[in-house]
Amino acid sequence: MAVDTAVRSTQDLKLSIGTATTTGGTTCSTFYVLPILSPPTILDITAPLEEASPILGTHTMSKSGAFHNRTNKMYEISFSVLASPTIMDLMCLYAYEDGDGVNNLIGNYRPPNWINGATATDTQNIYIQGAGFSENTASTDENSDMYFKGCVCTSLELTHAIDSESGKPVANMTFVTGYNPEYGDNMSDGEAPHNTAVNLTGEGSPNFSDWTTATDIHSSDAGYQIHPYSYSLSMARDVQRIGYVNATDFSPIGYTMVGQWDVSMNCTYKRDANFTNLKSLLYDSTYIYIDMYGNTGGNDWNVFCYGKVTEGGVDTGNPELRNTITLKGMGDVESATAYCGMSM
Amino acid sequence: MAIGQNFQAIDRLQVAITTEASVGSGTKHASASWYNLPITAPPTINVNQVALDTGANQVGLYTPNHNQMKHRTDNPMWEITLEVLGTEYSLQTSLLGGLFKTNTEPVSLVSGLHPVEIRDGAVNTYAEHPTSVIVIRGANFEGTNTFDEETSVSKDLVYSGCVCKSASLSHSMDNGGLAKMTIVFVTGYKKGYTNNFTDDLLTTMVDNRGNSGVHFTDLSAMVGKFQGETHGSSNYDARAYGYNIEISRDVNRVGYTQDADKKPLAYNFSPYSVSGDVIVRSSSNQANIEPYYTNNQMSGFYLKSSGNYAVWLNGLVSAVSNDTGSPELRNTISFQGAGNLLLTDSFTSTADGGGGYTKVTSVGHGLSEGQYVTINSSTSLDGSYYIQSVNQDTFEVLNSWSTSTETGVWLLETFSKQIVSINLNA
Repeated sequence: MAVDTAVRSTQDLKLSIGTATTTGGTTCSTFYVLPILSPPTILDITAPLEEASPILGTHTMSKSGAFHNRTNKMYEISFSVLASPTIMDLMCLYAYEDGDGVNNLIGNYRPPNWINGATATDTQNIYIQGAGFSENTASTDENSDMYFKGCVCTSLELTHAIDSESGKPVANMTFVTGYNPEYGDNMSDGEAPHNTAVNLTGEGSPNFSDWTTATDIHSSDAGYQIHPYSYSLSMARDVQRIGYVNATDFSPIGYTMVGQWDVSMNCTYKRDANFTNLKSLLYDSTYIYIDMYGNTGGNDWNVFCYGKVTEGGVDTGNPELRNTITLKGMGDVESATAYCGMSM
Repeated sequence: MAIGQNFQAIDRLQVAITTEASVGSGTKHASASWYNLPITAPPTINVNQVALDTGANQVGLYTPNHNQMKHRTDNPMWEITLEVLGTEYSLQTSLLGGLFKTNTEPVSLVSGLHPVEIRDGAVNTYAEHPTSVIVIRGANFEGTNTFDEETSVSKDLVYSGCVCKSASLSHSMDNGGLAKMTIVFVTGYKKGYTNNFTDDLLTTMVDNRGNSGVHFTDLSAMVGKFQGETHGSSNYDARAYGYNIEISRDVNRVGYTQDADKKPLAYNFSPYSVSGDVIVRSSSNQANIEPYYTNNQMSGFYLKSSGNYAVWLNGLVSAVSNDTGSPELRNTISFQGAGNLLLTDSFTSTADGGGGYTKVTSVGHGLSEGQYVTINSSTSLDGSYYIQSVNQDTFEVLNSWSTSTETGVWLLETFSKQIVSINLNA
């Protein structure tokens, strides 16, 4: 076989995601094709090479002493997507199981049960059209696409700025899976289930410039209202795999969430007289919130986070002085009270 | 049987504790509640493991003989270590009350304390918290990594007849400025199974995991003769960076029941060992603290907030070290916790102590400088005093002598009877 002249264009990449009906299975209820803003992570099957201790008296490494360990591999897939109400409902649903209305992360959050083969709706399958290694002829089974089964969301970051992405919010998502990446061509071929996939275009995505005076820090009083330029809300967690089902494909027995959600929110806003009410919040352990409100085309949007300030700074890189405040999200671990969330 | 596909996630473990109705019963006392603890590390999980005894080698044999080995089911004592946040819940008497035999907050180890008697099956007096039941949610091997109710699946482990063996308390700028406690329970009773924690069937459960705590920076400290100085002197004020207190005792099982369970017949106890240390910035007040490094007098340290938080240790200085690992010099002052043998006694005469003091003669009183006593049954000396100028058979109180000798009784006040007192409430 001569050198193949075909190329795989990064601009041709498409990503669709759907909730699997069983953990680690290939069947999904509905696939959604997302408006991704940059190429997603593409990972082939790999395994870390582990080495045995060197044998005394030898001065070269023994080929018998190295081994691919497939028992603990976790693949991480990241992508950026234009944030719209529908898309953020999905992303929040994937991240912390709240996908309608205001998507709240609650104080007494418990992760779902991730058990290999279990009938459950807590993992996603991610297809990347064009991520494979062969051209698609639409006539035979090819390896033009890749897909990742049993994915669990480990981080969701929503960024929104007046001077970035034309004022539209962007969600940076990270998923992990312990299942091997696989190849196929169903998405390229438009075959089931991708022939019924819902194309999401980012319709209804809010404009930053539509923020309203309900945007404030710590209090709805007028003295706490801010003029914002940007904000971001980040939620991240560690999800680890448990063991392996067999020594054939080394699928995980399940996953477990280790530790707590690491939540933070920051906001850059105009430095003005209202800072007199805000400056003590930078150091006095007060439990506060940042609340972003807007109304685009008659639709309210809201992003918020409760917590305590970790950082406060003054930005001199613009014509006017700007303040940046960062808080670490935290809630009441005994109650179902929301401590961060969004409604696009 | 194929390989089991279930697993138990470490991060899902939870620990609940309650006072036991009767020793070894594993049931909650009617007056008690369950407390869901804010554990900061996985608890110890025991599975009825016991020691294997091995006999002496037989002469002429070169391989081990299994007939000379025996699992000792008659004497195990299983330890359960709990690392918990030192927030206000920690004073729940069901957690530390058993160690100090008290139902009163703040929990305190009082001079002269005699441990409670604990016998298999005996009905517990709630106020003494003799034994506890500990349930670890999601620790049993039958768990399926779900928080959901699953009737007939016992996901939780139950430890009955648990007795508090030791507690250590540390508080510094570490750990987010919150206090931490490590509490060790022991039991001679085999573990059991339940699904009650997972299925939310532990009645009167109090969830303490979200309780607030006092930040270390909210505390002020006194070191040395702090008791007398509560009158207003600041000579013993110190800038503390952290402290540790350790209280421990041995808990031994006695015998076993003649059945398959081989339950302990009783527990008995060794004396308490109490120690602690405080780290302070080396400053001019050291001049007032230094005498206690050598003078055989009771001293200690005391940290308190402007609110309810108050922790102190009474004892004698056992070691002092200088820490040069920080920008400024710091002293670590270690104490051996100590109390008094006599909590009350009579005095036989009084005399002029000079300078407005009365010298009280009470042979072998055992009191120490700065301790707080109340005098009763005297002619003119009745009242409460921080004693000074202490000798073997005499001490002085700040009250002018009445010019005639008197007799009466002194009682050591609560503050001075307590070797350790802990109140972490905000």
